[in-house]
Amino acid sequence: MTEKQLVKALARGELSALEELIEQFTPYVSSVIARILRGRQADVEELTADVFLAAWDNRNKLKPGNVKGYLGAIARNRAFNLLRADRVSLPLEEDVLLLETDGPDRELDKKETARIVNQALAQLDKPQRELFVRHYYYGQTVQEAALAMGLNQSTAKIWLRRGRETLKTYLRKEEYEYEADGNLQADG
Amino acid sequence: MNMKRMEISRLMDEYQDNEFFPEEGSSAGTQAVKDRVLAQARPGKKRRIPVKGMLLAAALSAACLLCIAAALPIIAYRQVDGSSVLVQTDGEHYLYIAYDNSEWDEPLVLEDGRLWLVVGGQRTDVTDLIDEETPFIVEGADPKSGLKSYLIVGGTPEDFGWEQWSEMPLGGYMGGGWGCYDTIVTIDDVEYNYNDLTEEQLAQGYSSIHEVDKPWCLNGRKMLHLWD
Repeated sequence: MTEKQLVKALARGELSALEELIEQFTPYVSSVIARILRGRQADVEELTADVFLAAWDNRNKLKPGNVKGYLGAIARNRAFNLLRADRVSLPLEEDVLLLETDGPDRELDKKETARIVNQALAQLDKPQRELFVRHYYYGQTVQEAALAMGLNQSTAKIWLRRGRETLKTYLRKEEYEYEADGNLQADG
Repeated sequence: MNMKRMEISRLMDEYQDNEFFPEEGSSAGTQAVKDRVLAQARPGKKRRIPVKGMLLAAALSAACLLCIAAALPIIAYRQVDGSSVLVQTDGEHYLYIAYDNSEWDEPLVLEDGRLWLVVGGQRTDVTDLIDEETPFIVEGADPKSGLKSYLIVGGTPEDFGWEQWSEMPLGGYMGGGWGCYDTIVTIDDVEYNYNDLTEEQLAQGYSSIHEVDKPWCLNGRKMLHLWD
């Protein structure tokens, strides 16, 4: 079954298509979760099942060409949420960005955040982007990611720092433009 | 001056990776996952292709459905939703009826909370044109025969569906759809929507089951006056 046929069959609510989805993507989904949960094997199977149930409940959002990405996003978020709920600290290098802001504090919505993150990552060259995604998206340690990519750890840390700075630049730009619009409205 | 604290890993929640994937290596058994999922997943709303018995019974012979006369042509009648109805008749009776869905596409899709009607390659946002009671109807005709088909869409982003009625060459209409009815079951003399049943209720079983057409679907049929 092609991915297009699979997505259509899922949209029609066919359980056989759900079975096919599970068969095709369990190795990928469970490896994403296992990588993040690190040693909590008992939770991997349950969370993997949760991912497919979530995909089934939202099957109308699946599009040919992004099924793997969509499943990966659910898998990652569920795994990280479990760790956060258990107050487990993630082995991430400098996970926090501090932004100076003059204007009122506002929360970015999901669409704005996705846009900023995608714009920032698009500025990195492919190996740097891959390292950033391996570390901050998939939760690989710097050591693991560097080893997988054939980098030494110093280079990896420098690349991650560039990624953080780029992301910070785009976040600052968003805040500045928001504040500027706000000021124009106030003066207008 | 304020300092705003943002966690990168949380910002990355809104990212979707379609470029890099970690090395695969199964950490969970596929069958075990399947067993867990299928024990909880509810079947989707099935496409129903009912034949309106009172309209076709006079012309339809059950025995003749099994008898395909090779000399008589099977004609494809193009429908609004891109599918075709394949029909073979001897002029008085239907010998063969089937659907060709090779060019069919979902006529009503949900994207980012909006409902889009997708017909003939055109996309129309119908979110504000339809609701639980109000349908939107598209009419089409097969280019060769002129036989009509009507697509009724309705509902809300949370619960939507469509139904199509096809004019048949020997008269009458044949219809089918998706999400155009609710399945109602009875448990201990109380009626429930099948999709709302809990695990315990599913295990308990039900004494009866029937389908109830959605209001937008019924209203759409009334507006078409096909059976007046």
